[in-house]
Amino acid sequence: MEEYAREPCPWRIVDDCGGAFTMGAIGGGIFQAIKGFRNSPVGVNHRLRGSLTAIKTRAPQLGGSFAVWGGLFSMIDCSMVRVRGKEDPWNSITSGALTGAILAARS
Amino acid sequence: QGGGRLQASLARWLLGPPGWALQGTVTGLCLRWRPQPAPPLRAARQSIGTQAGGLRAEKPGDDSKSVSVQRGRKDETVLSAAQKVKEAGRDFTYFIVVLVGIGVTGGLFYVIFKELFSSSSPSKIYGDALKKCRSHPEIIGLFGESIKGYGEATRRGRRQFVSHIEYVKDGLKYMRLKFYIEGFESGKRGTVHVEVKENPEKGRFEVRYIFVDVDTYPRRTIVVEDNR
Repeated sequence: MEEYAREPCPWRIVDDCGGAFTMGAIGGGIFQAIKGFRNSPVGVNHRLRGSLTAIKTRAPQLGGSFAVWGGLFSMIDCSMVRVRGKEDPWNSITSGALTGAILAARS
Repeated sequence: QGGGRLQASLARWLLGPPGWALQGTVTGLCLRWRPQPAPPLRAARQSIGTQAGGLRAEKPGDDSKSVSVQRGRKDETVLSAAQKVKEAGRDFTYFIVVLVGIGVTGGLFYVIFKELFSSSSPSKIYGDALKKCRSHPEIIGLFGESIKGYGEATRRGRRQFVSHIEYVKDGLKYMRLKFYIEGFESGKRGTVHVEVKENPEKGRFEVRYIFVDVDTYPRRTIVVEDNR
């Protein structure tokens, strides 16, 4: 298929990073909404304000950590493709392992 | 009196955090001290009685103490029958859960190893064919020294999927693959067609042919290997 007439690789990093951030932000938003709703004082107004605050503070954090993960994975993947010269499942495996190792060594 | 106090402090130490578990041992020790002389034993048993009294509400006094010990023993056996059944049921469900987990993990490992290492997986065949193409002089002459290979592009833009077809002819399994190669500097593109046939004795797949369709204006076809 020649739809992707251009090389996917450098643009794939931005793609994956943005996609991961969106996933984290939406998922984190839903989760924090429910959590903030439950951990607020009684009364619908209080609960709504509590859940909104929780979303505003926590959801971007979760989105950011997802984006770091996705961006790092894609960067290592593209580097391996460039170095090895072929696209393989081994690239994904090694990229995942290296990403996990880097993010674990950081904390 | 001094010996009694020592035994009492020992008993108090034994009846520390896991109080209920050690009551059996303490009362066991109590039972074993019976043949000893009475006065220090009485003092020790009384202090042990007050300690145990905090947990079991035993009354002080020898007769009731021995009676309460036996009553405790009987209560323990009655409870532990029902408790044993419950424990066995719980252990059984845990065992089943562990078995299911092991089965799922084993299945996962099997699938992954088959995909990566078995000679009948498309990625492995694609890797071997690419290696052969890279060392073929005609292809190097045309595409340059560094060649990259890739398969079909999925929606996300990753190109790891290699398009393949399996078919059976005369009882043997065949597989056809198609992937693309491109030279880094020259920018020439080509399509590689590979066919493998199953070797029934060895159980592995062997290459039947590999040829490359080059994307130049007069279409060229380079035959890398032909075992037909």
